[in-house]
Amino acid sequence: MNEHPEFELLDAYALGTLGETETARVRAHVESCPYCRSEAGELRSVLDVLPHGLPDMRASARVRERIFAQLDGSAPARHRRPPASFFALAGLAAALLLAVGLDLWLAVALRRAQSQTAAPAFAVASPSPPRASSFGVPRRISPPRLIARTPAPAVASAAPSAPPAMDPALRQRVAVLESSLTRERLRAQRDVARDRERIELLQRQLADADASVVALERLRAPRTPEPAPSPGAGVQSGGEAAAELVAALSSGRVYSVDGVVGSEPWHLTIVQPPAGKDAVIYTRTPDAPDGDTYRTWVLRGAATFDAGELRPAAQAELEMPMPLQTGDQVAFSREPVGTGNKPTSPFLMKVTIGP
Amino acid sequence: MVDREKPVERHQNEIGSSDLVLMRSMARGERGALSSFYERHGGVALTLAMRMLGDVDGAEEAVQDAFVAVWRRAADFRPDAAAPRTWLLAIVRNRCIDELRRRPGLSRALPLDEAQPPAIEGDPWPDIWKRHCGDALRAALRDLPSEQRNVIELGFFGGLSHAQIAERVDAPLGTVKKRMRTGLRRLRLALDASYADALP
Repeated sequence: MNEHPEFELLDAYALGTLGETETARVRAHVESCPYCRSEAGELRSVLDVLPHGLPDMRASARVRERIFAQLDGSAPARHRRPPASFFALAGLAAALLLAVGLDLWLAVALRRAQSQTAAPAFAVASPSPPRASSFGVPRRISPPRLIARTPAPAVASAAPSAPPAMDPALRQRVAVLESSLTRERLRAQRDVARDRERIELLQRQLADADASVVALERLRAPRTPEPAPSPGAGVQSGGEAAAELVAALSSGRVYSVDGVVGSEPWHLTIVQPPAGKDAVIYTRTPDAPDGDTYRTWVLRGAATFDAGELRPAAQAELEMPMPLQTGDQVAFSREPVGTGNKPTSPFLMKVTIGP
Repeated sequence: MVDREKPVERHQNEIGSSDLVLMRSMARGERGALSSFYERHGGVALTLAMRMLGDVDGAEEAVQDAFVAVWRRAADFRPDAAAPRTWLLAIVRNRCIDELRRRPGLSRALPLDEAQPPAIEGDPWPDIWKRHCGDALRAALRDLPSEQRNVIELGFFGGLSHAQIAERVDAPLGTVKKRMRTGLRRLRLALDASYADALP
C-alpha cells in the first residue's frame, strides 16, 4: 500500500479489528510513512488508556496458581470449551440489551442490587458527578458489596432515585486528596531532579574552593625549612608553594579538570607557573581501595614520566617533576602502593595540556 | 546474588518497585517479579477480559495466557514502545479478540460475581494514580455523545469491525466510521486536557 489509507482504515488498524490481510497491508504502509505512523500512534495512545476506566478487581488467586503451574509444566496452557448454547443465548440477550439502552438496564440492576443490602464502607471514590454512562461498569447484576466498592459512578448515577454510592462530602474530600497527592508527587519528583543538579554544582564549587583554601593557607603559614628534595616527584609544602601558586594564577596557566572515579567526582586544578618552573596539581583525591593509591603520569610523545603519588582522601598538592609543555598529557591511574616507573592499570583520567 | 529461596517475598517487600524494574527482573527469570506484576495488574487484566468476554472461565484463561506471554517475552520488552501495564493489557485484549472471533455467539457481559474489590496495601500511589486516570477517562467518555461512545466501546471491548458495529447498532457503515473517528479525536483532546490539569 503506497497511498495513505483512509482515516477510517487507520482507526480500525489502531483498534486491531482489521483482518489479517488488511492489517498486513496497512502495517506495511504505516511502517514506511511517518505521518500515518504518528497518526496511528496517537490513536493507539488513546485506546491504550481505555482499560483504565474499568473498575479494578482483586487479582484472582486461582489464575495465579494456574500461571505458575503452567510455567512449571504441571498444567496445560489453557483448556478451550466448546461454545455452549448458554453463551449463544447470553449473546443474544446482550445484543438486545445494547439495542434497547444498556444504561437504563444497568441502572435498574444496580438499584435492585443496592436495595438488597446496606452499602459497605467504600474503598474507592470517584470525584465525578453522577452522569449516565455504560462505560467501565458491570453489565450483569452484581452483588451489592462489589458494586458499591467499584468505581463506577456512571452506573450508580444513572438511576435518578438510586441512593448515592458514596457520601458526597466524603467523595469530594477523597477527590481533593487524590488530586493533591498527584500534584505533590509530581512536584516532589521535579524537586528531587533539581536538587540533584544543585548538589553536583555545589560539589564542583567545593572542589574549587578546596584548591583555593590550600593556596591561602600556604600564604598564611610561616616559612618552614623545606624537606630535602626527593628524587622524582614529591608533595610540596610551605609558603613558597603558595607564592608560586599566586604567581602562576596571575601569570601562569591554570587547567581545571573534572572527572569521575567509580561513582565519585574528581576535580583537579593543574597549575603551570611561569618561567619554566615545575607544574603543580591541587586536588582532593578520591578514596582508593586499601593497598592502592593514585599515581600521576606525564605522557610526552612516546615517553611516560612518573609524576608522583596522590595521597588518597586528602587535600593534596603535588609538585610535578617537570614543567608541562603544550601537547603533554597528564594522566592518572590506580596503582598498588609502592610501585612506580610505569603504569600497570588503565588510566582513570587524562587531560591534554593546551597552549 | 539472587535469592532463589524466597523470590516472591523479596519482591513483595519492594514496595514501590516500578513495573520496569519488575520487567527487568522477569527477564532475568525471577518469578517473584512475575508474582508482584500479577498482584499489581492481574485485577484490571481480569476486568478487561471479563468486560470483553463476559465469561469467567474464558477471561481467566485469557489472563493466564497473557501473563505467561509477558513472562516468556519479558526480555524482548521495549520500554520505549509502551508501559508494561499497557503492553500486558494489549496482550489480554488480543487474546480476547481471538476468543471472540472463535466464538461469535459469546456474550459480552461483565459478571462481577466472583470479583473482589482491591485492597490498598503498601504504597497507595499506584492505586491513586490509576484511579485518577480512571476518573479522567470516565469523565471524558461521559462527555462524548452516546452514539460515539457506543461505537468506541463496541470496537475496543467488543473487538468488532466497523461493519459489525454498523450491523449491531443498525446504522450505515459510513456513519459508524465517522462516529468512531470523531469520538476518538474528542477523547484524545479531552484526555490531553485532563492530564495537563493534573500537572502542577
